[in-house]
Amino acid sequence: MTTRELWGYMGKILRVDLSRGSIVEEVLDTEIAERYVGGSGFGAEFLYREVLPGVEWDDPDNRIIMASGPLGGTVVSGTGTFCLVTKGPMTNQAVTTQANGFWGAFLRFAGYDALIIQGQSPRWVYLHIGEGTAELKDASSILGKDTWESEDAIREDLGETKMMSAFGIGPAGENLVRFAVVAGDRGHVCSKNGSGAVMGTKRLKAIAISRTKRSVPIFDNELLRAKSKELDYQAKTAKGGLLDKWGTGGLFSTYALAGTLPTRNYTTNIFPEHEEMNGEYLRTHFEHRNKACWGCSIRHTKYIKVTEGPYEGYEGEEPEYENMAAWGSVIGNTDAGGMVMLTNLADRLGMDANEAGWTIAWIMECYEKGILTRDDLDGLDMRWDNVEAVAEMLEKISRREGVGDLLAEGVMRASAQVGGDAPNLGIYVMKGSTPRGHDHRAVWPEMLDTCVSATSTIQSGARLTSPALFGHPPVSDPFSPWEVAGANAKIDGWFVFLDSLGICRFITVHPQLTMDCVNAATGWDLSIADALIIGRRTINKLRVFNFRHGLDPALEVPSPRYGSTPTDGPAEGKSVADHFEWMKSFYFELVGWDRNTGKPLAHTLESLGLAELVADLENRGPE
Amino acid sequence: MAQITLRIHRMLSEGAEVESPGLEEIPVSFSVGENLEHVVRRLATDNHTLGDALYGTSGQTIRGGILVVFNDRIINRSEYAAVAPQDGDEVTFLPMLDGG
Repeated sequence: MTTRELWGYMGKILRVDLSRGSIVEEVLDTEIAERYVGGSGFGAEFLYREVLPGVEWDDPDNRIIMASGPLGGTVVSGTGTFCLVTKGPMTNQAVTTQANGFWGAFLRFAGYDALIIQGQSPRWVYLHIGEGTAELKDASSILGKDTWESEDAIREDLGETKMMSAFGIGPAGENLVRFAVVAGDRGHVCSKNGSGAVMGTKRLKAIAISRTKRSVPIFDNELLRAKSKELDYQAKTAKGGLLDKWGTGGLFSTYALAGTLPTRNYTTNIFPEHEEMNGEYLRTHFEHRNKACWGCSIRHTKYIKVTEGPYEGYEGEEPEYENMAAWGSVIGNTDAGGMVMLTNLADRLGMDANEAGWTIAWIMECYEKGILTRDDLDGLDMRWDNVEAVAEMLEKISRREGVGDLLAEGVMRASAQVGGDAPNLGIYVMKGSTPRGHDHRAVWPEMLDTCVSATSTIQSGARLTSPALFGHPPVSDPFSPWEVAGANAKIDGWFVFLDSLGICRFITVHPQLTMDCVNAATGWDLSIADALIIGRRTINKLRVFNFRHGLDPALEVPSPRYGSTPTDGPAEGKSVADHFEWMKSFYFELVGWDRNTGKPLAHTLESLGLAELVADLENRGPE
Repeated sequence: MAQITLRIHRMLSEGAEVESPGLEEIPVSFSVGENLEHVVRRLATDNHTLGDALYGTSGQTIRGGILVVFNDRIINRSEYAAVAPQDGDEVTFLPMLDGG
């Protein structure tokens, strides 16, 4: 272990062993901080070291690592963010999944850069971290409560009257729904690869952190303030200030016009009702009040009250774009109020809106085609647009009740069990991961990224504009396999690096200013090129982890429906399937992986300072 | 004279604060035989804001990062130059977006 003075870090890690009921503080190794920075990087390092091949997602020896980074809890906007890393049940491989809110900042104020959870508690507990204290508390009275109720119950149990952030699981996580989430701060979610089910196996209901008074030691406070202001301005004015004004839902109609709005389980690419459901509509027709994350000046999320239609009077969080897709166009729902209600229901039950949306839409198509009947679906009339039936089905899934037990496995596994044509209708990656809420048949960079990612969600983050941020020409032909693979490879590492910082991605719109903030906080002198290397180090470490845990690159392809050709709409006739294998191989080659097997090449690992992984990779994984 | 409708996403007007994420519609007259590139180029020459939004500083070709949708179908920029529009056609320019 190396210990030198570290600016931008609290210098400690909290380790909780639920089997033993022990809680210990560990010193943060300086070398780990320098090599992996924080968040996703810390998670990758600890997961690799401590979760050995043969440990399955539901094994007590699996770890949950929740980490902030050097910007967490600083004056920079949107730095309540943290990254959760574990081995998740959708893929039985690694996942890195981020959430915003307050938790990441409060973890740092409590004196820690990361929290590592291991073991399995004999009874349901929650963890409370306060001023110089950390203790496991009985959670039996909170069981069954949804993610919002849990937060209130914990606050009451602790008698906490000041600020507190709690992230935990709802009924879906308790019942090991494979796509359960870890959610907190009313609407912020670590959504990918069933992190909530992992927490459920550990019988850990939530982790609450009270706001304490420590501050993050900063190398150059004045410089950080100045650079933070500049970055803030860039974030506020990005996309014409759209995020500030209409939230992520401001993109809903634009996606509809570009053919990327997923509609009725990808059976069509046309959703004419988009203007009655988009961000502008919600903010001009419904009531709102502000809801900000830690120190954020954009405040793109809101609380909302529905003021018209069958759900008039319903109050909750305003849907983000992906909620709008899942509970709007994906299931053929055209009622904005219903979309708000379903968004809140899924979040509060504690399940991923993407996978839940694909699962419900798949049932609806199966129902329409007679593959599943009303009897198969516990009497529910699962026709498109039936919001009430969807709500009942979500409840059943969260409790694994009736057909909900099958659906709690997610689309891939449920459709395999139904058999026949059913697996051909589901939207998933063949290795089990969940696509985000877009029609990727019109966004090939993200489909490629979703399939090959080592993070169980997007990894390179490449859509179509991203290369321009780094001085590369933007993609000119979004359906060119050559350009798509190249765009992803060029910026590979950047978004994973961002996930190591403890900051919201919506703030980091300007790469150089982001680096300026990191350097002001830490006293380092990292360039954008250095950041890409750090991100790629994390990606490659996770990639080797996944191979050691059974990754089969032949399964890094879209399911038949996910990779199908749109039959109408703006991307009609564009066939990604014709190009996918070539695009994938070319991408592998560009990022220094074997063109055929997808395994990182020895010289790639060595160039990233991961020479010790070469032997590991040779010893495990499919040939 | 024949007419097409050019629809441009407001977010493409770089630097401008977007009041609404919608489209601005501009009717454009053209002579039969003109290709789409000629029609849009002529309009962009007369309207510098539009020209900057579509062609950027180089002014050579429609800049990267813009999605061209012709009559509700995405077309590649290479195809775009050769399209011969008909009366009543629509061409939409959208930003290739990320986020959400």
